[in-house]
Amino acid sequence: MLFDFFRFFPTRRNINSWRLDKEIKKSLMKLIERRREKSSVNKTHQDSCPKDLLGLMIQASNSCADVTVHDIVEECKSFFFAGQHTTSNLLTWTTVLLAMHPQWQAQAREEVLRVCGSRDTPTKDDVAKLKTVKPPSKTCDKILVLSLSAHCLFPVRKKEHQKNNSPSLSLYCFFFCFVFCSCFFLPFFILYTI
Amino acid sequence: MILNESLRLYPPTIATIRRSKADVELGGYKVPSGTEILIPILALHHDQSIWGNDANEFNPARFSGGVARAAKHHVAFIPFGLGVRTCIGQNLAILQAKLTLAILLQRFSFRLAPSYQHAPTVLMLLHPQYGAPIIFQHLSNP
Repeated sequence: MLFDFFRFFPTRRNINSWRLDKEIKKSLMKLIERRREKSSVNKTHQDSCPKDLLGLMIQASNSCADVTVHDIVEECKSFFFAGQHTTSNLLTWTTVLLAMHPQWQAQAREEVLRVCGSRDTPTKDDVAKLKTVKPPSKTCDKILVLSLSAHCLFPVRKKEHQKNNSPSLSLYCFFFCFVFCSCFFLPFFILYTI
Repeated sequence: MILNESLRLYPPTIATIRRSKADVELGGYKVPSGTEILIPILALHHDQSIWGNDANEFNPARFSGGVARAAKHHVAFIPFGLGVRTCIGQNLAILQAKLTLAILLQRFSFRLAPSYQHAPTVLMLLHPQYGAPIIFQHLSNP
């Protein structure tokens, strides 16, 4: 592809994206390093470290030389991107659609208020009951098996929002992906995100 | 149902690609090994021969009998892909979206701002080209 060559020219756009790329890498390296230190200090108390994908990848890199820090950084990047903008996109379109169709919005709100009340933050059991929104006459027997508790999730989301107020990683991630890969690599990215 | 219908009309990823690992016959077509096949999720979700004449309309009730019975074909709805490589974050995404939507509906009523222009466009994902200006109103002080 002819356009590919433009990626190597130091245009303002490219310089910006290189800078963002460097910054993302640096902050992810820091994150990984911090986790590594934490797990080595707490070797006797394994419970104090959260059990998650990052932990598993670090564990794998400890026992196998093939998994480098670079690999972990790349994995993190695709998970951050794939996990953030797809879901926020879904929420954007859902909000738009509900704003376009007030009768469905009212019906959905009626269900939410009935199941969760008007004050309390919805819990995981409440959310499982929401068929968002099912006509009251028909009840649904299929219930999503929810593995995460709402209480766990909500503080995380809050933190995410706080982070988002400053030009944050996710924003950089999006910018970086958008600028760097532009439209030329669209098919590959679609593969990535699915 | 609303989230499903929203995923049907505006799937964030509009297409996916699969490569055949062996020679295979698919629906009467011979597909040689190594062929890349593009699966147009967006087009599939708007196909009137599968979804009926109201394919382009927002009608969450079509999912009232479950996802499999919403369309004429039981796997016509594939916003998260299908098979071994189906989206790993599917459950988390639905949970997050449900929770956020529940909190939104609980606290706000919302309508489109007059400046909203409906123009879905592809920027890696399916985005509203001119943004989504929406007016939120807190329910406790109308």
